[in-house]
Amino acid sequence: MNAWLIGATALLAGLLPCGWVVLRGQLTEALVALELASTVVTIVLVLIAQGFDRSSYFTVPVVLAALSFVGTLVFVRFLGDRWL
Amino acid sequence: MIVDVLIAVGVTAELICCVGLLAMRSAIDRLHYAGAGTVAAPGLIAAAVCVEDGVFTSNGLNAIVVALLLALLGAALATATARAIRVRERGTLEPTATERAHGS
Repeated sequence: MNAWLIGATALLAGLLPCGWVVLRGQLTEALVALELASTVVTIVLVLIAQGFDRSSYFTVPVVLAALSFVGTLVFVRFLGDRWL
Repeated sequence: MIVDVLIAVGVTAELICCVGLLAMRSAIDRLHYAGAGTVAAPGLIAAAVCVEDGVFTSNGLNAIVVALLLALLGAALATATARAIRVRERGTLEPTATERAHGS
């Protein structure tokens, strides 16, 4: 257990407030919480990759950072057009 | 030592953003914390990786790419989300008569 993995474990606690807002908030607030949750998970994956010292693990957060943007943008489009 | 401090500050900054998201009342207020979370913490964590492994290493470059992606795409996403929230709540992006009167 090193500082990277300790940081990753501590940062996972940040998903609890995001999850609470997703479950209890309005639709727009849930979308904002989803954005922050995807950022938190991306950083956790970076910390895990560095903590295990495996450079190949860095592929996962790189792909997630790009794909979470696209995925959330679809929700934003639906939200703005009132399809949701 | 520097690496540990950068990790601690980065993780703390992100956790503060998460708590702020929970504490705020409106979607736009919450969006400010979500936007801050895409800039501060990823930059600090990328800096920690670069301090430990060096900038021009596989890990260092990957961490920088992740931080840049989150910062640039996060800003664009925050703008798009704010516009969608505004359209959903007010029906238009144009300022209302009250907002014009108050100059905001």
